[in-house]
Amino acid sequence: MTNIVCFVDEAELNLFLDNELPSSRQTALGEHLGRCFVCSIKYDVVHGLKDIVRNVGREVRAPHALRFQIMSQIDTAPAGNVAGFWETARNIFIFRPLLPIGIAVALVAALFSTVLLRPSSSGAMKLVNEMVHEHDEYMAGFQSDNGIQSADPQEISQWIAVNSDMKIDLGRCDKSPALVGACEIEEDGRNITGLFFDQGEKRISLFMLHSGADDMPEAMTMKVKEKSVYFGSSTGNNYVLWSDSGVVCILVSRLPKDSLISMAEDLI
Amino acid sequence: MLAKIKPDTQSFEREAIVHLDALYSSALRMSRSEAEAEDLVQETYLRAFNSYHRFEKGTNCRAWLFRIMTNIFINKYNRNKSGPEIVRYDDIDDCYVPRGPVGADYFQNRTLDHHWVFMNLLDDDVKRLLWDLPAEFRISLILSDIQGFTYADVAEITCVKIGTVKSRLFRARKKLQKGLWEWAAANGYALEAKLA
Repeated sequence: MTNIVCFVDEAELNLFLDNELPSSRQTALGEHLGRCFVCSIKYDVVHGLKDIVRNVGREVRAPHALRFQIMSQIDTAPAGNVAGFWETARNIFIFRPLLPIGIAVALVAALFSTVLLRPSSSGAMKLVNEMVHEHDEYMAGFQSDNGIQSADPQEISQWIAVNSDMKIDLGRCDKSPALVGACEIEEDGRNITGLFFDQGEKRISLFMLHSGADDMPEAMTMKVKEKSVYFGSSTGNNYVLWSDSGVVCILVSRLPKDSLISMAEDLI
Repeated sequence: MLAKIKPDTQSFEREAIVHLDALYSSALRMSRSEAEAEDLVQETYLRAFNSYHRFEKGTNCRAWLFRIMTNIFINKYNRNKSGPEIVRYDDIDDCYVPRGPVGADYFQNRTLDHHWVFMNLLDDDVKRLLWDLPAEFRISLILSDIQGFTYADVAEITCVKIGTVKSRLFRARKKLQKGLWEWAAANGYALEAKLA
């Protein structure tokens, strides 16, 4: 057995790995690693370890519901306190006798702050559009996986009747003509509830509620801008929202009902 | 009377929301569950939005967001702990890579072993090993190895000196190596792993 001794500090190998050594030392140690078997093995180990940590769950993406939730809360967040303008305006009135100029400044600034205070829903709308687009792709995949040739509601209903165990009493949702069917689907080893909506022009939407059908309470009806909007919920965390016209369907997670109503107002 | 001004949502979306996936993936490794990670990310964004007027445009928004998230996590973590976490140096000092002189054949065998072990590790095993690390070590490792922040960035995000970051990363990796080796031995991949 040949004994090999090398006195390169392991801590320094870590710095080399993270490219945190001065450049001259980085180069010198790189050359040393090319020659020294002991150090190259030690380096391989820390390098492999870093790769493992880096690669774990690499493809993780934030859930759409979380993105939506954050954007909705930001859209509806109250304005924060920013010291400055009104204090400045008051100082002008108190400490500066030039009232006309002070008033003009206050008016211009008031106009400016009104523009800034106008609520924006662009973020939420953009996310809704993203979700709809993603959903359309999912639906196309669902139809193709299950051999459903068209998006005809009748064909979908037949597929449901043959392939799924219907558990939702559709009579419960008879106020919503947009809801055309429901089924239990097994996905990733979990039983989830699927709701089918007729979006018009032979377009069917499928939304999934991640809980058993038994948990689904009566659909709630609310008036938004004089139109009926229905909320279904599962276990109080997920909501699906639709209207008679079938154009509003959102599945969100853990959003307060008030936020849903304000979202519906934006969307309808 | 104070003026109430709402930050520009579109600008915030452009600058901050684009980092959502990075924040969420790190939050998942910091927290013990998806729900906890979602709460952490959500709180981070709300806090960031409320103080967005203080964010200096053109500076590193990603690092700023990670700083907020790390602070929230550490504060919550410390609140939930009954006392300060004590890291015994003895726990992490020993490692399967020996310090003294050894034979070359030892390393030849080892090379095959560790590649094989690494290949058989599952995400869950790594997550569990990560979770066994003290929170400060884990956060440094996540910021450096997963998010690719420099030591200087990690130091700024976690509000410590660069020397502390170096030490935490070194010790975190040692402890991870030890955990990995124990995992390998327990799963029959490296029965001869125990060092004299």
